[in-house]
Amino acid sequence: MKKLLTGIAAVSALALVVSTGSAVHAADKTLNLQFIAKGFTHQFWQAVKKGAEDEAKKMNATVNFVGPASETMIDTQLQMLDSAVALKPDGIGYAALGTTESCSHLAAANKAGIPVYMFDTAAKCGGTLGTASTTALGVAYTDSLGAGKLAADKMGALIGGKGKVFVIGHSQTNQTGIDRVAGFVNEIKAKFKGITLLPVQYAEGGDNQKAQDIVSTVLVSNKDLKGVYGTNEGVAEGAGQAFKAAKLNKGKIKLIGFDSGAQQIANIKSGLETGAITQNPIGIGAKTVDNLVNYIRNKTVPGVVTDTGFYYYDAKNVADPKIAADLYN
Amino acid sequence: MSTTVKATTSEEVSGNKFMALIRREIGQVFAIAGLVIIFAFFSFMKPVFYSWANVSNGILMSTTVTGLLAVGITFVIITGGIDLSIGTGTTLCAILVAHYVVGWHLPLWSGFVIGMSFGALIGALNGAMIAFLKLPPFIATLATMKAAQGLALIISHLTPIRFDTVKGWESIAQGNLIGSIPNGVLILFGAAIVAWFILNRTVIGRYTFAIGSNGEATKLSGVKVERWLILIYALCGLFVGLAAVVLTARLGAAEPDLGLGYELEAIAAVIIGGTSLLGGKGTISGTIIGALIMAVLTNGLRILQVQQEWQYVVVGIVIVIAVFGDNVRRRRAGEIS
Repeated sequence: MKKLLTGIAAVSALALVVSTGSAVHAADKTLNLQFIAKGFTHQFWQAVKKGAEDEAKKMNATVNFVGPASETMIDTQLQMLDSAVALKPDGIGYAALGTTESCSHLAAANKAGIPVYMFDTAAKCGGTLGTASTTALGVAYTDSLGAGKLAADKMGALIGGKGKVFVIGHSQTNQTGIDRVAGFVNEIKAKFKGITLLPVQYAEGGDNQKAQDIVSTVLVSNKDLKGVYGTNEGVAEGAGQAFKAAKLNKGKIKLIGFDSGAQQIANIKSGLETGAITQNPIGIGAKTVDNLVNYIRNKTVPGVVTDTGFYYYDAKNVADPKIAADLYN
Repeated sequence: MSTTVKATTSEEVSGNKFMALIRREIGQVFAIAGLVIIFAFFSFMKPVFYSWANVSNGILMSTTVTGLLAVGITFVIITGGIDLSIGTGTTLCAILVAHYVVGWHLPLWSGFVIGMSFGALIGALNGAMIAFLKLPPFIATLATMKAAQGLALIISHLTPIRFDTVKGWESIAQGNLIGSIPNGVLILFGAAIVAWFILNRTVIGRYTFAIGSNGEATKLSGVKVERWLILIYALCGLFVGLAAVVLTARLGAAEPDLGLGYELEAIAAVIIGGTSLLGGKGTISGTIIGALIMAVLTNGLRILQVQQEWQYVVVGIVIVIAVFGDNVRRRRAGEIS
């Protein structure tokens, strides 16, 4: 019954819109935004989704948020992007999984006159982003190189600038994964000559179990290991489980992770994990909606890069409101 | 593992009988020899490889989940079938176990009952689709694989479920009931012994081989093949449920997006262990050896710090060598043409 009533209401509202025609201002129309993330199941994407949806509600827009089941499925994600373009929405938010593969698909959106603002990861299609670009207006993201660099500075300070450090990555192919490792490795090499970096290994897709197996192996073969840096929630939690299985004393080997998640936060509170870098996923979602809506309604050209920031947190400041707002369970 | 197997067999039999056994089980002997050679190679390259810390936590622990899945799917593969749903089936069972055990504050042991029940249910569903709807196993279980992946996401609301409120949950995998052997490893070997018994000493095992050797003939001889197929897929599901419990205990949480791809690792272990994808032939011990070969190889390459990309390549090559070698041997023995 309720559905029927809503249906009737919707139809009559539509009739009203049609009859009044141009009298309806663009600002009154609910904007339809299509968001394509790099994943869906990961808590990080759920936080981005929440940020986008909450902001959309405030701005009289709707967000349809989709993403592939795993962050390795580039082709699936490109199909999602194509479907979104075919729907002719008012705007598209896109997190580039295939950083170059997506270029022709983005050009199709551009040709169809649909504004695109990227989030989390920018596609690399040559040229600069902006209104003249056939790729996108810009990107709202975390400076992953900078975030990796911050993790390196913290690690260097924690272990007194010397000893063996192991990096466990979550992806060799996606840009944020690459940058989080590169930012860390470059900073260690430049600033901490006393630190020996073991070869980076990857638990592809951020598989906790694979990460646990890899870190267990590294612990066995490097008795003098001083620190581990894990580049996402899955691998950081896997590393924590490996520490537990090896019955290490808490804090003996420093562990710096990335993002949050209930288990990682609990590990940081208990001292099993030393600290982690958090991004601002809610801000990433909100800023992307903000930029798109303002551009569509008011032709306000958004910044080419919207840096949404990142912070280091540990047991001491995990409850700090500024940090807590960025964490998710 | 390999050395103990050798020791007991050589104690039990001697002389001609021993030679006969070797000839009969030559496939297994080759597999064990392969395992020993790989193990010796890595030990020589890096002595820390054979330290107990690495063998227990690095090699054996990493075999537990894949090993349990491989043991379960061995039954299915011997019938000439396949079960692609065991990877995401593990995910779904893990989420269901977490959903009930954590959500309803149930005791630890109930996790095993819940996991294995749902596992068996998923398996029975696969079996029913194959037996009654006459879907090819590949298709039926591919459908289940997809559905299980979706259901795991739906039931968990895309959020990992932690077991922090369930006392002792992680000790299911990481605790030590006997000496310093991780419990997860005890579960794997315990399950393997049970599976060996079912396959070699019960009527289920006999029909598993019979269906795989010649399904039509088995049917004509009056065996209700449909029913047995459902039972065999359900049996595989039991091990999937058990693998789910061990996985959550390893991770301290049920992860809704973990498990896809585990089915292929399990299948690889089974075929390296000498079980034929054509059906009718296979052993549980071979599967365990196959799983160990995969684990030893992966672990050893990591210890040697071989670049990740090359690790994948080496594993691929080993699968080819193992199966090709087995084929050559069988051709010589006249088992296949």
